[in-house]
Amino acid sequence: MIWKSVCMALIGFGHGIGVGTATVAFVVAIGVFPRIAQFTKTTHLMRWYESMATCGAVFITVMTVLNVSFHLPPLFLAVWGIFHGIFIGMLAAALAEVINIIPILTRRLRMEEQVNGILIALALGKITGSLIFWLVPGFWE
Amino acid sequence: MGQKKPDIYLQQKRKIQFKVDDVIRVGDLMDIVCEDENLKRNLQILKIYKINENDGNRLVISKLKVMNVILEYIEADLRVYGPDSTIVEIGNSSSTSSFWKGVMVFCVYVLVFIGAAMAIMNFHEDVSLYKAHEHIYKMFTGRENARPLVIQIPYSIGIGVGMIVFFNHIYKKKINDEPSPLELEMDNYQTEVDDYIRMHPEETNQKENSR
Repeated sequence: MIWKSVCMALIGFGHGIGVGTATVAFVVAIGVFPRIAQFTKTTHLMRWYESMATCGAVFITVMTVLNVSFHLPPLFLAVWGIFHGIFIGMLAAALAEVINIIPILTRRLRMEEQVNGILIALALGKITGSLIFWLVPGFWE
Repeated sequence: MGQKKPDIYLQQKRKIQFKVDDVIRVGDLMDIVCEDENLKRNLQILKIYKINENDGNRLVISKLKVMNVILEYIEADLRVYGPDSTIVEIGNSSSTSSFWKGVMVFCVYVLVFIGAAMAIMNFHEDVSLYKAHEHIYKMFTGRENARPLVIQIPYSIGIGVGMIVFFNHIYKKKINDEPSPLELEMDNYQTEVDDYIRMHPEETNQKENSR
């Protein structure tokens, strides 16, 4: 009986290592963290950012498993939401950049001066899409 | 002729812009350093090539061609630095009308807007984000809420903010003066295109005609 538990624990641990490294690999490949460190001019704090990201992932996992509730006011979640959104936005931007769409689009169509417009259209599109998804009934639930 | 040959130092430029019927001179392609200022001035106005309508969008002019022209003019020791060839971009005088350009720009904006909107929706669906939001809501407030708009609306706005901050483009001057990742990316792309043109001049410039 105890061996079964040990086996399960080992499998779970291995699974965790796999998912954890995969997450890090993804974030590194996308390059969001160096970018944040660069424009806040805090590259020397990179290690802290890494640690915080690890803590966040572990925290949420543990809390989900333990099924805890904190009984905070809902307004707290607005703060949570905006940070979540900023991070997803950066991820999306980094992804768009990695696959090189905008340089090619602007060059092919000779719209080098309209890059700002394209970026604003991109960001507004994301906001609109997201709002429609949440506010118009029928997309989820 | 017991006279010593003059030393001429040349630095080839990577890229220049010209229009049809312009004449390309040595001074346009090279930065020149030599002892004799008169000689320098004469070298600068040596004619290399006159652009005609058949040249298309660009020309590639090699180091050797320029050296040839200079050596025909004067016997000298040439030291040439910089890239092996210069790309001459030929500007198009008959560009499309501003109306059609405007229509095209508008279409691209719509394309990007709708594409971004649909992509984010598909993303939410793919990762079942509503479940995660529901979970988080329960975890922090202790209550059930099937539509936790208090997290979803700030989240939506945050996406836009995050993208703008990442590209660091619109308020670049205010945040900091480094090139934005997009500018770097566009510059890299341009350099790659230029390198390709240098490596394959025959594909982009079949008419390497006489001077």
